[in-house]
Amino acid sequence: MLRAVIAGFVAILAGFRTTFGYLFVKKPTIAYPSIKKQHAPRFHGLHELRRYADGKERCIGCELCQIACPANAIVVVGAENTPADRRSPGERYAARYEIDELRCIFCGLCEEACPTDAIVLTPRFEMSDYRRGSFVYAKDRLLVPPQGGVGSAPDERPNGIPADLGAVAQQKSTVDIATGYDATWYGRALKTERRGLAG
Amino acid sequence: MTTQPSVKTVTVTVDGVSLSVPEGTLLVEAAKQIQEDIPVYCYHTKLGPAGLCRICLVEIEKMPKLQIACNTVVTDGMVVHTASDKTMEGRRAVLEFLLLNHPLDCPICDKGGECDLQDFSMAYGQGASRKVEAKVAKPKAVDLGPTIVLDEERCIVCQRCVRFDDIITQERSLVVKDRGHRDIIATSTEEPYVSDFSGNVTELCPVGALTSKTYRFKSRPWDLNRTKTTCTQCSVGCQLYVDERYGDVLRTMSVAEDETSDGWLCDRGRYNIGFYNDPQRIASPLLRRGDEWEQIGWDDAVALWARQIREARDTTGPESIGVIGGGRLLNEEAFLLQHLFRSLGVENLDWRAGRQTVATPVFSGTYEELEAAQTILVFGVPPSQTAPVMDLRIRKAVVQRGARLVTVGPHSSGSSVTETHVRRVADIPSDAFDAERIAVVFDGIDATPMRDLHERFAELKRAGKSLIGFIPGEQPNARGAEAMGMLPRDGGRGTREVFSAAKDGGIRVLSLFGVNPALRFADGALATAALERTPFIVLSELFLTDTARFASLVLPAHGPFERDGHVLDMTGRVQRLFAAHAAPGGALSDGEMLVALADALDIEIPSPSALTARARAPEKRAMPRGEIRAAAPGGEAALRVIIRSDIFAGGGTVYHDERLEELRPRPIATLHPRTAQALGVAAGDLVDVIAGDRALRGLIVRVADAASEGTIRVVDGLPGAPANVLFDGEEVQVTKLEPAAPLAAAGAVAG
Amino acid sequence: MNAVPLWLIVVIKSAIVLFVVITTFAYSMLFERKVMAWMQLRPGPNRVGPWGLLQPAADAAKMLFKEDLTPKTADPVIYRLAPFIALFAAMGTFAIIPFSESPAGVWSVGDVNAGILFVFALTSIGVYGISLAGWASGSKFPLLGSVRATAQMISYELSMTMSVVGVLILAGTTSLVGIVHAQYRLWFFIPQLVGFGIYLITAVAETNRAPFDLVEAETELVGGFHTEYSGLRFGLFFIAEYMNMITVSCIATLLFLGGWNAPFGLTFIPGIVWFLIKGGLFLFFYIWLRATLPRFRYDRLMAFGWKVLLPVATLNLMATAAVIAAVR
Repeated sequence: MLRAVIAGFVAILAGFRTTFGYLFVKKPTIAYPSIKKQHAPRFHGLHELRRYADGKERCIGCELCQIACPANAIVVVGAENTPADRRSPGERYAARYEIDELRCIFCGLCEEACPTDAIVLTPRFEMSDYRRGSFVYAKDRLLVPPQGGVGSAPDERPNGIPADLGAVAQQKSTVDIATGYDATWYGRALKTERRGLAG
Repeated sequence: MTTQPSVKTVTVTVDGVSLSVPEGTLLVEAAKQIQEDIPVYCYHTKLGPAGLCRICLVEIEKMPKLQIACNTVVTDGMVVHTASDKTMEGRRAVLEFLLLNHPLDCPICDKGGECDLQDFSMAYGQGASRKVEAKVAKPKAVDLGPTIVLDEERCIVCQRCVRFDDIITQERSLVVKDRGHRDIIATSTEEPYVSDFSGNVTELCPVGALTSKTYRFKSRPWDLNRTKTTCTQCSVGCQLYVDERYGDVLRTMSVAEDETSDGWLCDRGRYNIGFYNDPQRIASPLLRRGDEWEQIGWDDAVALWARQIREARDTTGPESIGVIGGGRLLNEEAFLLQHLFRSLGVENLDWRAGRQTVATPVFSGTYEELEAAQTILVFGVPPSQTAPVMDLRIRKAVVQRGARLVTVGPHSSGSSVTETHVRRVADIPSDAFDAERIAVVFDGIDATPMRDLHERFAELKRAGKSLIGFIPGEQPNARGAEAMGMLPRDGGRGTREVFSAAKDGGIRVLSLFGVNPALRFADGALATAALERTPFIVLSELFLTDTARFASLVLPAHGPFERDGHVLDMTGRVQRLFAAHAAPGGALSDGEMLVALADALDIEIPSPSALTARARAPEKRAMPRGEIRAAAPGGEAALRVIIRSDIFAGGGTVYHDERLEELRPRPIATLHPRTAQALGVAAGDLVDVIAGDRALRGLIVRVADAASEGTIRVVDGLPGAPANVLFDGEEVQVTKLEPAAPLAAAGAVAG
Repeated sequence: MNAVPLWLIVVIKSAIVLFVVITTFAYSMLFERKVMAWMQLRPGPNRVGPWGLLQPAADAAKMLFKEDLTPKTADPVIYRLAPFIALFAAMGTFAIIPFSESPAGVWSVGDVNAGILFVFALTSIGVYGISLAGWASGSKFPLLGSVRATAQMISYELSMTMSVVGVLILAGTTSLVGIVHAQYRLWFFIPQLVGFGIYLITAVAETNRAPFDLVEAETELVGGFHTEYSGLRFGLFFIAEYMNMITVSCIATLLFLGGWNAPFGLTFIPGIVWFLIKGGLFLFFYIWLRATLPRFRYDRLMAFGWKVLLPVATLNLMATAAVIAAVR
């Protein structure tokens, strides 16, 4: 009985020691948005519809991304190219292509399903807005503008914060690119543990 | 029915399962008994074996090589392996050949997702191609006709489409052109592929070679919401699947196991689906204010309607109120309609708004019985344009069962099968009545031959022969309307009498439900005069039709795929409708309108369950009526007009379906070459057809050998050229319009 | 001195004390949020002003501009009055709390010879604010909160008073200044270690702070007694809670930690500084406690109060009385 009371008391004290100790630990918080974190090399962010070098859309409106999407976030409606209005190289193009970025879980299955590498995920991640409707991205925002080149291929993603994200006060890398570990204290701890296990 | 000879059965072992099947059964059908689906491309249950694609290879013991299951008749003691290694290897090899030049179009192919080539490649194919040479390129998106697009690269030449055109429709316009890898599907005449059943080839095509123009790139099969309902474009009552996506009806598909349609659909039923979201569709009640329409709310519309009815009843009595409609309504709605107005004492109730005068035959039969008939007598307008899928049954009976087809009346059927055409009842070959099983197909318009043959039929019936009748009318649920009581009783007036009374100002309120008498009523002049004199006309419609010009209040109704309920097909079978498409917000179903009206008039109506019970159990009593028309006067040399039906004629759903623009009939007058020569007109001329003070103006002359001499054939139900100003079989004059005449006249006025 | 009337002196003193106390409240709140954040590996408020120092002002502005809602089912008069009762009781105690002493006199608004009794009387009124607020809100969660508040206050007030009586026996006076003077040599937390422990625990319970915050347990009761309150009225409860924290910190300092007496003879540092340091430590302990311990279950709270604290407090009191009686 007494022993249990003492043990409980000691346990409480240990708790106090723990919380007190954390007072002096360096905080891992990054002061976003003034400091931006380096994302992982294969980070999945906002989508982009690519073009061919001649300016034609890669998307053929086949809807495979739509059926691949586990979150039902994509809507595609196809239409037929006419000689007067030729959007994509084949017979068919996407008359309507919409992604609800609120529904999207950024798994990248659309990218995998795409037979023409038209839909890709860029590292852009800043898309907050005030209205739900504005998260439904249609072709006007998804398609690379004609003067914007062809877009980036899925296997050559730019490894850095896109320049068009606005002023970046300081790029603070928390990712150890070589090993992929998070370079904060927690990541270091994990790394140490792993090393200990290996050694 | 004759007794079937006892069928010998044979025993066959398929994959270790012993099966007993009738002698003569094909192996592929026998295997279906144990759900052992042998892959097929060219074989089709209704088209029979062709032995072209070789995909159905199976291993049969004691046979050295693989055999095709589709053309192998089972024999006693046969042992078959449908999934052995040897079979699989055979199928793999066949698929490799089929895929040699097949393009990798799947992502944009309309068939992708429901394609047999895809499915069997996944099941039996080898995954990667061994071919390193370039594939043979052929034209893509070849315009085969007004409804069909052909992708020549995708075709695997199974010839299902060719055989459909040969065996089922008997039209024989599709052929395989060229040989080897150059072979393509084409029409034998190089003319566009025109058929009233063309859409069926897109369903038969096991790959994406033949696709519908209306559905091209609209959707993928997995996106579609499918509803099984009944087609109400005509009175056949085919079951069909309605595929809808994002509020748009994109396509319809046949129901293979449906007994009504035999698995086929006509192009009207299949393709006339583009009107649901037409911008011209009425979206709220419209009230006439002078020449303008004013949008009003439903409450106001119903209140106005109820007030007009009450005033008319209280001042001039219930006989000054008329109701026409029912042929396009559901059984429930038709019952509610007559119940409501009968409660007010109104007996001027009729569904007949066109040429048809009777819908329920004295002796009903099923389509299967029609197929088994030995003699088929067709009176009046042939069913090929009014009930196309039923016409396929007749063709099947004639070609496959050896039935005799006799058409009676001014119209020859124009069918692709052998027929005996006679003008008068008296000319019917007497041996036609010797058959055991006789089917009578009557257009329901002029009952004169029915009266003439009444005794004959009674005699046949007494002799114990099978005599069945069909009335393929113009309105889909005319039989249902009759069964629900939408006919005048107890001294009430029918449509013709109502119009006659209205012409003299005797009708104050006329309620029209889904009818277009201005365009469709047999006596167009009478209908127009009547509608003009009636002070208050309420019209429930989808579009502002020709009749809406006379209406004071137009109420937006629900279209065919937007309804839930029951109808009767022409054989009297109850068919179920399920709503497949959401009606526009402003529209109400006719039933809902009637409920609102009943509420405004304080009339008690049956409960919904009672109504449904009533709709499902119609009175199967025939109403032996039908108009008897005096023979039109005139000598043998006179020019007579024949008013022809066309499946794509009409002022409503077809007229407002932009996808069908190419299919809508033009205002054409068809003449025999000798008749044309006698009249001094040539193909392409513009003519007026005149009978007394009535005229049908601006028709384009077409000259065809198939036309009868001494007749001029015009198309009924065209909003620009309403043929109902003339009477069928009437003597007419033809005047040719000089192309410059209108311009000269205009110049004279200006001068 | 006589030129200045007594009422004016009291008013000026009150104003100074109120200003100091309110400022302390504001920054103790920021202090709490910061310390809690650090203990949870967060930076805490840092966007308003340098290091988030203007956060209290921002919070105050927010509270002022929020809509003041009264539920339809509430008793309007009592509902609106309750926060003021709570705040009045919380603020009233500062009238007699001595902060330090100088040759000119004691630093307090008024020195009452029964000071400790006055404090207990006032804090007992404070529970009416909470109970009435919950009852007058007219909805079930606030009512549950207020029932809990009443039961918890009664249960723990007994033990608290008993732990303080030990100090009174030692000091022989109920005057707060007198108690501080009595600790000139020995701070009472040494002879009254058990009493001090009980006071620590019961003080937390009396102020409804974690881990005894069952009155507003948000995981069970949404917001407890203040569920329906918003805007300024909610702010008043907030102020009252922190005022009570400061009050019990001050009382703990006065009763057990020697008040403004300097430890180890470090008398060159003014007494007020010592007072603030001791009070501040006590406040920090409060926050530390909140960051460390999870909330009690209600039945255990009651069992602990009646079956552990009360017997221990009674024994402690009897032992103290016995020892004092023996010594004298």
